[in-house]
Amino acid sequence: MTGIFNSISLLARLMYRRSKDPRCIPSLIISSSSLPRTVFRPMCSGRLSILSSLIVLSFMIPCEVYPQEDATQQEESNKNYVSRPVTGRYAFEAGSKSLLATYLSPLTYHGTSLGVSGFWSKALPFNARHMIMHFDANAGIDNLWNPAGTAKIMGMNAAFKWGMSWRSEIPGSIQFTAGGTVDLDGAAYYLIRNGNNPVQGMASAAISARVSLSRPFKIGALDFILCDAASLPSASMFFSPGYGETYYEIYLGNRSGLIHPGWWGNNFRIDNLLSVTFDFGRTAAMIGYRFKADTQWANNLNTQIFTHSFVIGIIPGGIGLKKHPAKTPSETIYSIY
Amino acid sequence: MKYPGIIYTIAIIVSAGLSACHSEPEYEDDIYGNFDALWDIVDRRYCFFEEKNLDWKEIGASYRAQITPETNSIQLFFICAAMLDELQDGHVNLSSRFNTSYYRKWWSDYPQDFNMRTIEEYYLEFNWLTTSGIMYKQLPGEIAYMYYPSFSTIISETSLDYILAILHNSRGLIIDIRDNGGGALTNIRTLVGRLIKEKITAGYIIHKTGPGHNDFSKPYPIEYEPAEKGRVMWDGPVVLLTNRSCYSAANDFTSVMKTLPNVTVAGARTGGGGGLPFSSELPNGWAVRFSACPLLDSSMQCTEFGIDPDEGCEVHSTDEELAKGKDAILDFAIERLKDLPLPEEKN
Repeated sequence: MTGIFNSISLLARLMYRRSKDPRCIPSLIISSSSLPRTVFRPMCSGRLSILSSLIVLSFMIPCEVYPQEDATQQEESNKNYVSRPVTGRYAFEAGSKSLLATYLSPLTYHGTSLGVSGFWSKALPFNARHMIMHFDANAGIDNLWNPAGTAKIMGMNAAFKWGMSWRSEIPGSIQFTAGGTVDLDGAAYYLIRNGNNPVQGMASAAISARVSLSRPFKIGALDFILCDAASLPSASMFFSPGYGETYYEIYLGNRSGLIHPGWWGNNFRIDNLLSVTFDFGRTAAMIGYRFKADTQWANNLNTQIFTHSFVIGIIPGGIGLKKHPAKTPSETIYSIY
Repeated sequence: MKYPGIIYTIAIIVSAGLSACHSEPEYEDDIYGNFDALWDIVDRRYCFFEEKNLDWKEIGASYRAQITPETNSIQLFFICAAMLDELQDGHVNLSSRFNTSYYRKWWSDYPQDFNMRTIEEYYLEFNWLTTSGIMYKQLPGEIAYMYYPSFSTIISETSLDYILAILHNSRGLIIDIRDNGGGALTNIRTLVGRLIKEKITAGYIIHKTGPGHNDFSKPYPIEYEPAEKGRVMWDGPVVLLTNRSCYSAANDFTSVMKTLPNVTVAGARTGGGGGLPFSSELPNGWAVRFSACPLLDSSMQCTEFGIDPDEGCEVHSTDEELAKGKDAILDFAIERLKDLPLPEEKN
């Protein structure tokens, strides 16, 4: 009998070890608590065949077994499982823009700006309550006129931002996030009637500080979130042609003095979005106001671009303003703000 | 993060303050404001004050004194245009809805030395080929002739292949650019690429680096490369014909051609225009164009005042002769080439 117990105990311990290993999900676990403590001796090869037959035999002995995923364990397991969906926001933006680009003209141009933007975010696995990762992309076109209405600038711009933020609650039910992003921006402003200086090309790579404050509130039975998010490029490398340099000279190969290190003093930019989000059917809707400033000073050239836009967007799947009964996850962390 | 909201607000305010560090002069849209804006644009950006020995402040003051509160916009235009004429630069224009000013004396005070009708009738006999804006024909005596009237017409590489293939069995090539007022510099590269066997530096470009009259970058060499393999090349003698109306890109082409050993420049001094023009505008919407980027020749000399023909090759065609069907400049070129061997005779 000792041999049989020995083999059962060995099997139980092996199974128990496997059950501790998160990489495997055992189908059956023998209750090891019912087994007496045993001492394992080194097994010699002569005993292997006996041991194998005993192992097979052990499965034939009636004993108490139970499935791993019973109700209690399911509950326990759900407590450890947190859903971290990718939350996306897709928006259309329309507004006004002013542009001063002294490479093109000493006058400030004014006109309309249209764009689309997307914002995706997700709580990070290693600290889901506090760390979020986000990606931001936008593109737009502009149609601008000089004050006399005799010349037109057509503009195109695109930007991408990727980064992470720390999220915390502060008194007053305010959620605060602070983090950083890596940004890539590009734009071209084409003044149709200019000759050898027809385009203000802009390009930059930057590291930005990003902060946001958001607070839920109610109007009647409706839930809203008021949020202000600002991105502030703080260290950058940006492109600027020379003061009187033609693109022909750049084409010839003269690349000196085109790339500049930037900071707030010579490449101040800010992108601030004030928004209200609310449930809209099974999705959430967002309306907001975006203010963007994009200025640069290099090679004695001054560029100042200011955009004021009305933003309307949707967040498919919502952001959890409406509490749905949780089925599988014990908690879902939405990370849009 | 005890007071994130306060930090956040302070950051925005401080940052907004920094953005206003670089302000630009603003001018009213009235007669004085527009005049001052024009004077200031030229003062900051024009590139030949030194070469032309101009006291722009004094010029500005004298013309500003002509403005009175009763001056209307048409009168203001002519006062501004007269001030710009002081720059003596064919690349300078002031454009309004009713007129574009233009300094014409760079060519109007000189003989024309060219008559298109004379070429068409007496040399081409109203029978020539045209492609990429280039008129061409093999003249009697197996001399190849190309007339390129404007660098604004893009020359395609394929067209140039055909031209040079058709003209290849000639004693020499005459490239006539008289009355060519310029255009795109890239056409120079296309043409020159067929005449050279290795990379050459045939000029320099500089640009203004700031608003000061002497704020310039270091000269950057302009290199020309031979056309890609498989293209039809020309390695025989070339005579380039010029007159006073060769300007801007045509002037630069002459400057480049003059550095090539197999090229002779004949005719009259070119008109200049050795500065790439920039554009700007006034508060009332008028556009202004001016030279901003000087082009230098291979000796780093300014080309704004024109390029002389090679020594002993200055020739003029009088109006009387041209009317009678004789183009002295073209005859001079034909004379230089007529006794040279044909390519097949060289072999």
